[in-house]
Amino acid sequence: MNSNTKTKAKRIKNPPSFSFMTSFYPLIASHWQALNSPYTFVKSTKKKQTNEHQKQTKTMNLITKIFLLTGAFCFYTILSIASDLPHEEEIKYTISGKIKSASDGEDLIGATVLVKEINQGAVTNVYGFYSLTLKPGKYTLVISYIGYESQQKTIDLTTNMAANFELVEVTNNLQEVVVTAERADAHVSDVKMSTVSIDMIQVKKLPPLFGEPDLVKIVQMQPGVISAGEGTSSFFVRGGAADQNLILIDEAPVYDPSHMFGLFSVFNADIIKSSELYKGGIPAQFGGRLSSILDVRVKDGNSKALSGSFGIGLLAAKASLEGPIVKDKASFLLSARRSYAGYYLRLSEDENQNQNNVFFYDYNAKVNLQLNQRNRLFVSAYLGRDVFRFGNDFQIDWGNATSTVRWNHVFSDRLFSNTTAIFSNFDYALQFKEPVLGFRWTANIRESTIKQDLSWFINPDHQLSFGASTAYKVFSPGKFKPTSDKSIYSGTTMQELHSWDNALYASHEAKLSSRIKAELGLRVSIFSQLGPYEHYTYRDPYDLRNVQRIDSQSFERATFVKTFINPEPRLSIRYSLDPQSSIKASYNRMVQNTHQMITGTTPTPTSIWLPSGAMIKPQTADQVAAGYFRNLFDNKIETSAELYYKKMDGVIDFADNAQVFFNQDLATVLRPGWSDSYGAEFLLKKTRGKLNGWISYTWSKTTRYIDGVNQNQAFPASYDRRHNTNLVLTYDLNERWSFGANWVYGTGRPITLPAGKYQYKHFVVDEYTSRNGFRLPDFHRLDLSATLKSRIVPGRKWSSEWNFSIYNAYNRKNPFTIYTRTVRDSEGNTVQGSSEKEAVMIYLFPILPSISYNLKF
Amino acid sequence: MKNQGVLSTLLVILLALFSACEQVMPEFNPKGSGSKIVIEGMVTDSLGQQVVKISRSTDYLKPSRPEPVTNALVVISSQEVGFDTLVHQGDGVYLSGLWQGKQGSVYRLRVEVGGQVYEASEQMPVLVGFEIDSVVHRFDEIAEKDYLSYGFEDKRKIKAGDSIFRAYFYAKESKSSVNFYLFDFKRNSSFYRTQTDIIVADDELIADYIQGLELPGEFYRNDTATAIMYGISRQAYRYYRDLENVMNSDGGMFSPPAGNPLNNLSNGALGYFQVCAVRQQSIIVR
Repeated sequence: MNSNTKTKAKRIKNPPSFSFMTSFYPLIASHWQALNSPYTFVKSTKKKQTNEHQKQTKTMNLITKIFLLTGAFCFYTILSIASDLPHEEEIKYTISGKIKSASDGEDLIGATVLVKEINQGAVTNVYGFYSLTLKPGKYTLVISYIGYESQQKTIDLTTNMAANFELVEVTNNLQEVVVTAERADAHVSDVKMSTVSIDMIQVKKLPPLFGEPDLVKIVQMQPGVISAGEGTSSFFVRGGAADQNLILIDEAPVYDPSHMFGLFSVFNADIIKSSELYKGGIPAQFGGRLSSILDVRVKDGNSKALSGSFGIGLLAAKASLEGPIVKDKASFLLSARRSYAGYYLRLSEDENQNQNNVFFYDYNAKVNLQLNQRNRLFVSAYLGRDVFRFGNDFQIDWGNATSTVRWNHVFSDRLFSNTTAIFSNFDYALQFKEPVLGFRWTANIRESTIKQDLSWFINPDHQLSFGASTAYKVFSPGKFKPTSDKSIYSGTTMQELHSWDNALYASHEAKLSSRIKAELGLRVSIFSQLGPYEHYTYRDPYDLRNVQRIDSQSFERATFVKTFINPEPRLSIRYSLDPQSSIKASYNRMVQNTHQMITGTTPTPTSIWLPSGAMIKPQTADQVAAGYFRNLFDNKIETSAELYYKKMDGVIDFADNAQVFFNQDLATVLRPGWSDSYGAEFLLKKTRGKLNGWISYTWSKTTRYIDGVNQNQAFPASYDRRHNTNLVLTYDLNERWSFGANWVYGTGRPITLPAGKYQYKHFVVDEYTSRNGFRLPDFHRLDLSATLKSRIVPGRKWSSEWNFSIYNAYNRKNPFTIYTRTVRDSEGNTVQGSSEKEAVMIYLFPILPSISYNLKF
Repeated sequence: MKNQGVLSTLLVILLALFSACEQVMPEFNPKGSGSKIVIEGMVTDSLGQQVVKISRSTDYLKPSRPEPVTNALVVISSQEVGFDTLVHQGDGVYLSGLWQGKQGSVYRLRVEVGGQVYEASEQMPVLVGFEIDSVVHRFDEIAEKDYLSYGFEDKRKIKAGDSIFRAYFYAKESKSSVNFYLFDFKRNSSFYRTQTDIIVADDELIADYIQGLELPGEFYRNDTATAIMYGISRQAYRYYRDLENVMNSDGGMFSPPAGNPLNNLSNGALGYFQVCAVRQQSIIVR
């Protein structure tokens, strides 16, 4: 890496106009200054800095500068190339504006504006903004969006102009939507691959678990995505671990997307506007996780009229209200969801059960203000929490709180800016109330981010996106306090870890010829662990038998403990074979600097997050993917076949029997290594008509190589499931009835089970021979649902629907896990003193009918 | 400390809540690893014959007792005792001569079976500043119905109307040195023995004074309740934590993946050579 950058640096004869960069990015400037100031990198108070150490620091400084220069250079090059593109002598004008839904004023994301005469167009961004730069002349614009009636407009482009459009929803969904736009072929014509847009309307038609439609359940049914089974909201993308997915709600990261240990996700389906899953070819705008980005955006609120919804299912109820504050100028959205699983427990006659309480809630709020034609402000917030109370003694609770303030500013017709301030907090607490053994354990992670994104619509063939972000993150892995003065425990705190996470990116999307379109991007992530920090050196960091600290080093507040700079190149190319088919390929490098220490397969909030730093190196992933995309029957059917190979370095696993709970020497149980994954994904999808849905098949293999685990032999990742098939169908029978079905099949996941047993003292102990050496039986399940809509009565302002569903329709006992125990007698009591053991399979859900009711006005 | 306790509680909650179902899998019958040597050695600072037990691991579903190893050459050595060759007493149990270990001394174990040598060495921890002050008992309740009381080795039939007592112990712990403890509890001469409970402590999390920690199990009038505390090495503490993890493994649902506990024995032998200081305190329930 070093030599490479040096060669690049040599090529730069005159440093590029850095002043431009620095004025543009105060961030770079501050970093640049920081690098030159005496307070750089390692500043120890206890240890004298040795010559070698200083040398190292200097080298680091140099590398940092070189990287910054290289980054700036690439960036500059792209800028200059791009700015050359529209020739000076040519006069061009820009038409720009917003595309919205006529019924509720929501921005339409990904709507197209097609210029018929030249058969080129623009697509709206995530804020509904489009910009087209053309030679003067008369043009016919076709504005379209799936599910909406297209509009045509003739314009005479003689000057820069603004044009906003409002599209009307197709009301009669029984007739096939006539979409004249070319956008219907996005699957083939877009440069992006390995990306899935989740259709929220379809999510609601599919069979939900306990009557609660869930976005993450649908994500888990996409090709290339593997779930750990059922009843869990973790998902594994192309061989990546569960913590390698960046889950965003209105751009704010959600650290734990699960409710009730993963039975549901934190996303309330009623208020989600759009959600996109990136599995590969990830745009440079995103970073921070190795394997995927799930970008969820909440509705902005109806700016036309007051509306709302109410829904009640078996386990939770929800309500939302949205409407204009000032019509077409300002709107709000409020929503709440709460579960009442706990009430079922109270009904139980079992005394042990009816004292328990379990609930979760979610609140979302959003305000959207159109200040003027050029400025728009969004404020959104999310608050969610889970509480598990077990008897009077034991409680575990966790929750996320996020807030986002966004300012959209249109600098010019062609330059769109989005400035975002984000705050996210995730915390959990574990409490045991008891006079002698009582304790309360709390932990949290909090981050504040400022982000600047710019899109420059150069002309219909070129678009440039660039930006920067800076974030301060604090990780508090644990505070342990006795709950009474009689407690046998003394209080203790695991040290907080501080980090500063910066990134710059630029991405250039270009149509190079009528057949070739490419997106070239570079992201540079600059991640520093900051003091205060106490770093321990161990006699042998991997000798768990005898963990011995031999030295410690203190870092003061705001000093650099360790800095990692990583360039992340991204490239996607599409080559059109004909209007109906294309070949795409992509390469991306991703870097991850926040790592979750996941212990089991079930997401528990106690799986702590840690930053890169003195203890953990960044994880990196290189992924190449290639695919063939073909649309059939006038774009009604989309098919694709993709192959990928991904190599991940610095992945972390636990040593056998790792003690994760309140371990002050956590560094000693972590085992870094590498992992690779490859696979093939096939998809056939029908997006229009009465019958919609998809069938997908994924073959994949994921192997881990971790020194110190499994006798240093390669072993399958716990989510390595060879074959995965998903069949998802929805059918609209008539105006009132629609039906949904899904069937999932997957190879059983690997699991660590004993191979023999032995006796030590009075214990009959399992003997293990290999990590993940066994496989659970195969998993398959069929779910069915039917939705009955209320009769359409002219003039009535509300509508309602009933949803009936059957989960696990053929009552398959799908294994959730297998564990071993001493044999039990017929009454379920442990046979005391027995040396006999048995393996027990746990399965979660038998056939499970549920019903829910939803009302909209 | 109660890591597994927390995780298994989560498991219980999950199972209870979502009407999860369990099913024994009779078809699960993995092939053993080829019967590894298991060594259970113990040297204490109380006067007596020190004991080493040797057996082999077996196939998973075999209901039999462990296979004892009867032809091993077992030697314990230290500065004080020199080389003491242990004598096989039958059933894989080997006994030393009559002596007591000394706090701070290093003891070595050498076991030779079928041409293979297994070795371990461990220093007996020096117990400073820990004393069990007292064990007390308190009346708990009157039994409502007849039942069989589990936990201690002598299962006892309880009749309705019997008074049930609980025992508590008090101890002082000094923070001047890092100590690790393993606890055992007795009712009269029978030990509290379950397959899941291993009570160990790292004094880092423990307050200076333990005020009335409840002993497991039930006591009755005229019983002698005894709390035994072993001062163990850091490595032994680690071993018992690992063992606790294995004994309570939930198949990796919540807990980290299980593996053989790390021990102080060479050549892949299972078990542990424990060298420890012992203290105990008793009370008669009246």
